[in-house]
Amino acid sequence: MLLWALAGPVAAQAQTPAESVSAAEGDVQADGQRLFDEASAAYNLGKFADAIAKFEAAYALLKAPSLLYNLGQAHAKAYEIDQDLAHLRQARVLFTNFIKIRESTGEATGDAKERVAEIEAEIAAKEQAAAAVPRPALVAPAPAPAPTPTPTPTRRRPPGALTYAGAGVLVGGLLAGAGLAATGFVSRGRLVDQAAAEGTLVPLSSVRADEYAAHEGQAAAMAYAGIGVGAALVVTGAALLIVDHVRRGKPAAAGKRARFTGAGMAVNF
Amino acid sequence: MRAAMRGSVVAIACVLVAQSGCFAVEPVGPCVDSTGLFEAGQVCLVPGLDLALPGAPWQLRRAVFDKDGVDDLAVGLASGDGRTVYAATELAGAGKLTQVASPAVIQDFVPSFVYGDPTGVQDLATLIETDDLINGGKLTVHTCGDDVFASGESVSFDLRGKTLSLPCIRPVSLAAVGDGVAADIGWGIACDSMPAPDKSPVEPADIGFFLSPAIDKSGSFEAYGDPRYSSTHAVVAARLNDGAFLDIGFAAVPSSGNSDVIALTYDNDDVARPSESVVMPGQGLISRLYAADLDGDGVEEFVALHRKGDVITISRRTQKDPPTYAPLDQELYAGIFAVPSPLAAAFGDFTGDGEVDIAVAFDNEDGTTSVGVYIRWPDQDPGVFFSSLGALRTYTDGEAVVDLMALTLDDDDKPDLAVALATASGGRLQVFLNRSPSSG
Repeated sequence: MLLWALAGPVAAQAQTPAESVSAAEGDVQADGQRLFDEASAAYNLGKFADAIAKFEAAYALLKAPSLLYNLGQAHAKAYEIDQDLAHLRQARVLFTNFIKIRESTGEATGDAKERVAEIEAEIAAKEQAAAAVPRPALVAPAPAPAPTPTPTPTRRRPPGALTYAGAGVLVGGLLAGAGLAATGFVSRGRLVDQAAAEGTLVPLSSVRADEYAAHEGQAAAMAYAGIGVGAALVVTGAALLIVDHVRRGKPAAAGKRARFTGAGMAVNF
Repeated sequence: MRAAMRGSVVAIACVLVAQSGCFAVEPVGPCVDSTGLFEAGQVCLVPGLDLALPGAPWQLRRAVFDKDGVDDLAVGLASGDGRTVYAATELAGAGKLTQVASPAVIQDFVPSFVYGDPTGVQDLATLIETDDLINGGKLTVHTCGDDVFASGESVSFDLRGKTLSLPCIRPVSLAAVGDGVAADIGWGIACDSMPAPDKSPVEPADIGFFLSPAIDKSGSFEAYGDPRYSSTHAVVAARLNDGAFLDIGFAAVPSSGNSDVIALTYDNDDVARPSESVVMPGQGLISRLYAADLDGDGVEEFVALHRKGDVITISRRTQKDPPTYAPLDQELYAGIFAVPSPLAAAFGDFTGDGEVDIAVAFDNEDGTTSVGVYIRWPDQDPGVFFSSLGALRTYTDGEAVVDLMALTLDDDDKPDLAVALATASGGRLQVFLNRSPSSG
């Protein structure tokens, strides 16, 4: 409904030059009118990208300021679909230009100014919300000479050598510790069973008992050493992982940050 | 990184395998044949020679009858109404039996260095009971030349005439007394006595014979008796002191008591009479008496089998001067050396651990007989004799163990074991070769 209310003047204005130009100009008018109709139809169908393209083509032929309004409206509607602030900003430009042209000719601007105000409010709200989220985001340049300072979004670096080394040491520690401990305890258990079986009828001689005790002690020592070494390796590996995790979590160094500017927007990585 | 981790795992696995091998304690040697007398890790006596005997055996004695370097046996066999003795030689091979004594009422026999023999070959003395009611025994020595009894020389010592004042109606046990190596100076003879017919009803002086000094071929000897004992029924030669010759222990019934004692006679006594007696604490008649140095202190202990008491007792010297013997604490050892109706024993380090073990044969309640080994516990102080009975083998099917003897049949310094069995058809001699692990 909003479009129709604004499309009327566009259509009327589009018909006026068609009556006063030559046949060639008549063709241009006809093409412009056709594009206008197609754009209007696309708009009604919610195909705003198509509508934008057709309105732009029609404006290229007709140069009717009303088409700027319609284009602004189409961009505003497109923003409602994809939430792309670029559409909103484009709409603001189109509405603003429409106002300037109309005011320069003394024509009425309708609700264009209200539309601009609404759009700016919406853009401001969106930008404020985006600034609160620490992730890469599109940041629109501030209208002021100096761009509005925004929180610098960060991006983790990929896992480095420390992560792999830490994981290796941790897993190796687990394997080595568990292996040594299991081997030690199993060996000691086997020796205890063997000594018990051997001493079932007759007690072991002191020499034999000492031999068993020595081997059992060695097996236990290996088990505990395995636990100790494994634990140390696990702790070391975990420390390496943590260190690398912390280092990856910090912002990248200035020399390595990319900043791209142009076309009214800046992208920080 | 993955390669490094894989390498680490392989290295750790290698270390683990190597380390686990280091923790293995070599099991004591397995027994090559567990069908003999077997106790895992302790005793491995494998069947060796199995020699059929031409009669029912009744006694074994270890002997050296030839110069093949291994022990032989004297085997007493039943023969008709009497008894005879065979020499069993070449026991490490096919075995060879040679009859030594003619059938008679042989009560005992003992290999003996009668004349001394630098080659170490022993002769054989037999103790024979006669029908004489007063002087009822005689001693016969069968000499042995370089070849086993090839010379056939035989010297008899007739007890008659030498015992006129010491009647020995029924000699029952014989022990050779000497230096234990190559010369004997006499024998100890145990006699069952009874009132002499011409002095009835007065109890006669009862005797343990000690024959001294050294015997010559003429057969002269001296004999002593001791009126303190009413009967002697077993005798053993033993090394009880530092003297040059073996001493004697008699199992005797004292005139003033009913319990057996072990009467001791020392070689350095002026008069070779029993000078000490060890009172056995009510275990009943001593059926067999042995002497063996069980604890390696150089003095032999007495091991007595009490067939009706179902126990084996050990008596040990508790004081050197004056020499004093005492049986082990019966309460402490009551459950250890208790086997039903012990028949025979043999002594040797069957396990190879340096401790002298005791092989025993005994009757079971079901009528069978068994052989087993009292395996000495290791690391025991002298005078401590804790043991566990293992390596049991029970004989059924009409076979019964009669006697045991430890002997050496090879050069492994481990005692082997000979078992005499009475069978339905006569008997057999079963040899078990020692293949024990020597675990130490």
